Amino acid sequence: MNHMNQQFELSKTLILILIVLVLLTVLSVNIYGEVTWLDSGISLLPFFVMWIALFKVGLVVQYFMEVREGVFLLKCLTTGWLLFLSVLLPVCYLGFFNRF
Amino acid sequence: MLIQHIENQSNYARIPGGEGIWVFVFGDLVVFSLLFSVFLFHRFEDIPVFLESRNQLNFSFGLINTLVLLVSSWSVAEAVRSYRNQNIDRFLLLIKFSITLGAVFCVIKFFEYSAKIDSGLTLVTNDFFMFYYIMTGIHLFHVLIGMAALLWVHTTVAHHGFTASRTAVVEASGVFWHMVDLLWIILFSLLYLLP
Repeated sequence: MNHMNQQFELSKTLILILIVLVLLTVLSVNIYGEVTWLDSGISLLPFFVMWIALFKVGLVVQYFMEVREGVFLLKCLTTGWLLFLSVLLPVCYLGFFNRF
Repeated sequence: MLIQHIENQSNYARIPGGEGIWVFVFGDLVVFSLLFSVFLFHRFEDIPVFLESRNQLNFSFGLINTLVLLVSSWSVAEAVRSYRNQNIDRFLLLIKFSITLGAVFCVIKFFEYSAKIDSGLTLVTNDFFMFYYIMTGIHLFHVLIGMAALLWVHTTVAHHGFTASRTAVVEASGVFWHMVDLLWIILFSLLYLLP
């Protein structure tokens, strides 16, 4: 009985994750306005768009791909890739590599 | 402390779908990461053209496709759980649902491509559309492979029922489908949303 309850809870978790993913999608398509970094003129909006997307990817990886139940190395590799991308994409967006 | 934590975890931790599928997934993720970076590099070189081209994309198609893939990904995750619980009827139903959503994605993409080509927006129009067709095209190819994998798993399970040894194959097809979903999440934000 307890086992059945646990299965039901896990299913509720997946539904909750789906709802969060849909809400984040709606949020990312509805964020307007110019939020700048300390009045420097650099808009933070593109970064929010990219980081929301990567956060959603993180949820898919952890819950749908079941990496949170996976071995330590798998968790390290997926988290490392996500962190790497969360730096790489904004850096490319700002044209850092275009200077060379 | 950390070593003890890792040792405790290794008693029940596993690799969902097996090592092979993850080698493939990481290979794909590296290739797509490179594509995303090159896209943003070229975007910085010609921002006005990229912004103007982005505005010519059908935003509604992109949003619907995102929601379709999110729901299909959830459906596959539930299907894998059902298989482990030996609830084969539910598994087959959820896999059918996921394949249908994959087909919906392909149909929407077909309409989107058709509308663009009819408007004269092709691979050679400018850099934005070159990246658009290449990245979404490769992704669409992955969607088709994912659908084929799910269909194969569905057919096999429908004929032979539950087998513990087949769990890894079911999980692997699920992991591949989730990868298709997560790649689209990033593609959608870069191609359709990035201001």
